[in-house]
Amino acid sequence: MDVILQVSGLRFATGEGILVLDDVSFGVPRDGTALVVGPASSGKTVLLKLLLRELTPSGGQILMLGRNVARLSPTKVTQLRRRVGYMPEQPAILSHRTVLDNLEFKLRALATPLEEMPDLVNRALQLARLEEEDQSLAEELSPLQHKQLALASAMVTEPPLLLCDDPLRDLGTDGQETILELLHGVRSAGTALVLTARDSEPARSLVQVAPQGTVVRLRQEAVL
Amino acid sequence: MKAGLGFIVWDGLRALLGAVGRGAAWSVAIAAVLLAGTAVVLLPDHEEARQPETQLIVLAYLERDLSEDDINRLAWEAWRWPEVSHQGFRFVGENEPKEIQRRALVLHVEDEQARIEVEDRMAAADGVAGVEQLRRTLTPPPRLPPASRIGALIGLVGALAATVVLARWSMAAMASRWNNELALLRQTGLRESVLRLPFLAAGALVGLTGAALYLGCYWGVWAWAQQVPVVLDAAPALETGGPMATAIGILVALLLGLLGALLGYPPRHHHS
Repeated sequence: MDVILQVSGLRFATGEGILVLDDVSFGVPRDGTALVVGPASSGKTVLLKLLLRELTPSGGQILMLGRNVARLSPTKVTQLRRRVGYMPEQPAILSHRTVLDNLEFKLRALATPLEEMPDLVNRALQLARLEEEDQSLAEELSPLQHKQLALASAMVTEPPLLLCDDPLRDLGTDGQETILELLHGVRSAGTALVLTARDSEPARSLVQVAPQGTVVRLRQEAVL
Repeated sequence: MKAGLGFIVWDGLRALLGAVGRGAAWSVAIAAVLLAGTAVVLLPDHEEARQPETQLIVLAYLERDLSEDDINRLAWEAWRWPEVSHQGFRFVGENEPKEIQRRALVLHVEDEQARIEVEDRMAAADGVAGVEQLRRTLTPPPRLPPASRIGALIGLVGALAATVVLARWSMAAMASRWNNELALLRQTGLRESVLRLPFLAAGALVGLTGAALYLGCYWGVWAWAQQVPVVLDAAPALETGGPMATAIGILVALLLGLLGALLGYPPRHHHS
C-alpha cells in the first residue's frame, strides 16, 4: 500500500513536562483518510502542528510524503509544507480583499508562475463552490463561505495531503453538510485527508467522508 | 516553488503606506540622531585659549608704469627673503589690510627687526615708489562654548530613544495593517526570516529617507556657512567633512532603520 503519512509511536510533552500525546500511531494511504477524534484539549491541534513541524515531537516518528519530518532542515520543512494543505480551526482570511485576491495572494507569495495561476485558482474555486463569489470581498462572506474560502486557499496549490482542524466547528447542519460534500470532493479528486473532530455528532458525520478511513482516538492526557 | 520574495516585500511595504505618518516621524528621528551625532563630532570639547594676534605688515607701493614682469620679479625676490612669512599683491581699490590707493605688494613679517630690514630693502628696490608699515591686532571670533557639545550629546541620546520608540510604533502599525497576510503566510509554512523581509525593507526605506533629510540639512548648512565665515570658524570640520558625513550618514541611517525594524518586529503571538 502506498502510504502518504505514517505516524509511529508519536509522543509530545510540553516544555514543562506535561504529556500531551503518548504513543500515537496511524497511517494514511495515498488518497486515503484519517479521522482524529478526541475531546477538547486532547491534543488534536497539537498533532497537526507536529505533522507540520510547527512543534517538534518528544518521541516517535512521522514519515510524510516519503520524508522523516523530524530530521528535515528548516528549508526542507518549508518545501514540505508547500505540498501539504492546511485548513486551521481559525483560518487566516484577507478580509479586505476579494476571494480571487485571497487565492492569488497565496500563489504569488509562493512564486507560482503567472501562467499557471488562473487554472489553479479556477480549480480551487470550483472545488470550494465559490465560482460565483470570486469578486466578493471576503468580509462580505457568510461563516460557511469563510470555511469554503479557507478550503479553497488550502487546496489552491493542489497538495496531495490536506490537514483540516475541526472543519465542521461553528457551522449549522446545512453548513456542515456543505463542507462534508466539499471534503468528499477533495477526497474523490485524489487528495489524502487528515481530519480532526471532537467526540460528538460532527465526528460521526466526518466518518461518512471515508467509511474505510482510519479513525484515531485521542484520550485526554493533560489539560492544555 | 520558492517564496515570491519580491511580491511579499512589495505587499508588506504597501501596508506601511497606510502608516506613512509614523514612518515619516521615524525618519525625522533618524535624521535628528545623525544631526546630533554630527554636532557632537564637530563642536569643540574644550575651551581653546585663543589670544588676539598682532600682525606686522609692510606695504610696498609700486610705481605707476612698472610692468607686470617687473612686478613679478620684485615679488619673487621678496619671497626669497627669510624675514617674509607670506606676501600678496593688491590692486587699487582693494581693502585688505587697508584701503589700497596704489598698486602694492603686501609683505607679512614675524617681528620688529624683520620689519625694519624688509622695509629698508623694499625702499631701496627699483620700481617701489614708497613704503608703509602697518601694525594691527586681530581679535579671534567667538566660538561656541563646550557646553553646546554636552547639549548635542543630550540631543543624541534623546533622538536615539525617540528612534527606538517610533520604530516600534511604526512596525506595530505596519504589522497591524498586514496582520491577516502575516497569519496566512505563516499558515502557508513560510519561515519567519522571510516574513521579516517586508519589515526590514520598510526599515531600510525609512533609514534612507532619514539619511536624505540629514544630508539636506548638512549640505544646506554647509552652503550657508560659505556666506557666513563665523559658522566655519565655530566648526572648522564642517568645511571638509561633507564626503565623510555623506558616507557615514547613509550607512548609519540604514543601520538604524534595519535595527529599528528588528527591534520593532512584533512577537508572533501579537499577530497570529
